[in-house]
Amino acid sequence: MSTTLVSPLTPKDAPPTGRTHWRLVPAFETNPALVGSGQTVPGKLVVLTVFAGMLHLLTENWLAVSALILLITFLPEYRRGLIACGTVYWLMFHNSWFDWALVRGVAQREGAAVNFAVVMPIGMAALIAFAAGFCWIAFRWRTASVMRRPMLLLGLCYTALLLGACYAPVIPAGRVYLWTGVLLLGPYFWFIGYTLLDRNSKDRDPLALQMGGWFPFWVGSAASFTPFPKGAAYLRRIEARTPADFAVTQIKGVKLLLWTLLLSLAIGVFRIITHVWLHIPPFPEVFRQSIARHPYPWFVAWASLIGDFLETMLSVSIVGSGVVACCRMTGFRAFRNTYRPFRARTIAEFWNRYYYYFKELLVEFFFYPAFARYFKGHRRVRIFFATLSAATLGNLIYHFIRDIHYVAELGLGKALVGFHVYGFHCLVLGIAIGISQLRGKKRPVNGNWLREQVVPAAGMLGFFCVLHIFNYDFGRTCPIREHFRFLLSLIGVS
Amino acid sequence: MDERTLVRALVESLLNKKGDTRAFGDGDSLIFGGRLESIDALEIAFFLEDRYGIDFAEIGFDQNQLDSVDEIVSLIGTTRIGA
Repeated sequence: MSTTLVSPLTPKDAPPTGRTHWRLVPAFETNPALVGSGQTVPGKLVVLTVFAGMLHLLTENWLAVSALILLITFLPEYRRGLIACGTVYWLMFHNSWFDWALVRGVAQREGAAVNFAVVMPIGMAALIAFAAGFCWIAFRWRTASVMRRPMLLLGLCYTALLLGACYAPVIPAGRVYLWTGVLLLGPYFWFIGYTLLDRNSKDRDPLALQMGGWFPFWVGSAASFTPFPKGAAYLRRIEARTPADFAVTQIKGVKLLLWTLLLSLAIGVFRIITHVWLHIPPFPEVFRQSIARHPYPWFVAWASLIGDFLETMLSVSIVGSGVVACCRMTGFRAFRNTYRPFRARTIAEFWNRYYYYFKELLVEFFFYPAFARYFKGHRRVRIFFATLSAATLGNLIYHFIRDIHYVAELGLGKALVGFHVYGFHCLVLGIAIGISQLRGKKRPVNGNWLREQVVPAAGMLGFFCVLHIFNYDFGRTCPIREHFRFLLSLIGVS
Repeated sequence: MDERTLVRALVESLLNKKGDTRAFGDGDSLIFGGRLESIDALEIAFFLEDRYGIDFAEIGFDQNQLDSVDEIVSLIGTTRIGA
């Protein structure tokens, strides 16, 4: 787990003052005239129109998102309340993250006669009652021994629900509802967690307002389980307090969406070049041919792997940037999710720059708690163990919950066994980040660009590229020996 | 030296290590403001454990409590009152 926090809003890589620096997206927010205009009604409308126009090119939900941003722009004093309204709206009309196919599949398998029109409302009502009750108890009795570690208790509740869905001797309709509960609690798990983390804050928001920020509309449009940008405590810290601050934040939102648009164009061009012009097959296809013992030549496999790695990076950046751009438009100075990953020189630094809010989730829910509790007398062991807790254990738990459909499809046992490939991925990642973190970042000493910049960057990217092989588990049915076979084929060993 | 001076000295040394020599106020957000990194939060934690005997297993590790000089000093004060 990386703990090297980079500030995307105050880049450390910025050139010294006085030197000209070409930027693809100019720093509009530093122009006083623009910031001033951004505080007037016509100026706000222009900013919103530009934003909505770009959003239109990126998502079909652009109109609803833009309408919510419009309301917040002109009624910033009701920002948090409006966000809560947006959350409810999104839950009612844009709940595509809910796996309907899985619920229907369970109903069919069980032969259950279920009215699907009421499954979701009943499930949501139960979830809201459970989550609100759980948080209220955690706030009210936070010193009670059972509530000392509320995330652990929440995890146990989730596990019990999952075991119930898999094995409880219930009527068919009951199993459908239990699975609905599992599928609803999973996406909210980390949002509830951030509210629980906030329970000791002096300026904590009321529970209803906190719940209004669970799956806010900017996350809902991306259907990600990762809370962007973390929880209510972070939102309070980064909220724009003055009209000028709000204008700057919105201009940064527009800039980030422009960047998202450029990245979307880039990924399209990249796909045309690699798959259409160069005829490089997609990585899953190359891997399947390897399993079928009809492998592509080693150089094609390399090209496909590198291409897929770069495409994944671009995709993560596009989704994260779009979400953060929408969040900024509502007046929160959120950090970018992906920030110049190719500037990283160490594994820990890359991990931090690549997917910031996922890393932060792992830091807050796994790294810090482990750091606070274990190996207190041994500094290096303490940091290494905390890193493993986050990058390995936390990473595994996050993805197990996110991909819970495998349990319904394969059964709990097979889904767990099939998870060994990703488990290996997380273990190697955790060890590598831990070592990288303990070694630290070497400062340039003699200005040898090749040795101090290019070689570490190539090594770091090579590591992540090769590890990317183990990121694929092909429906959790492919044993890890196939991944090693593929890895060896890359260096010419058959 | 009082706590505030010690904390300021620690923060200053952490910033200097990164080549950040800009001035900072006691209320400035250091971690969420992007000037300090999470690894520095650990350095601050080590300092608070060693010097003031603060037990993060007991109070919970919260980045918010280490985000500014004011908040760190407040944490020291709170744990002292609690002790």
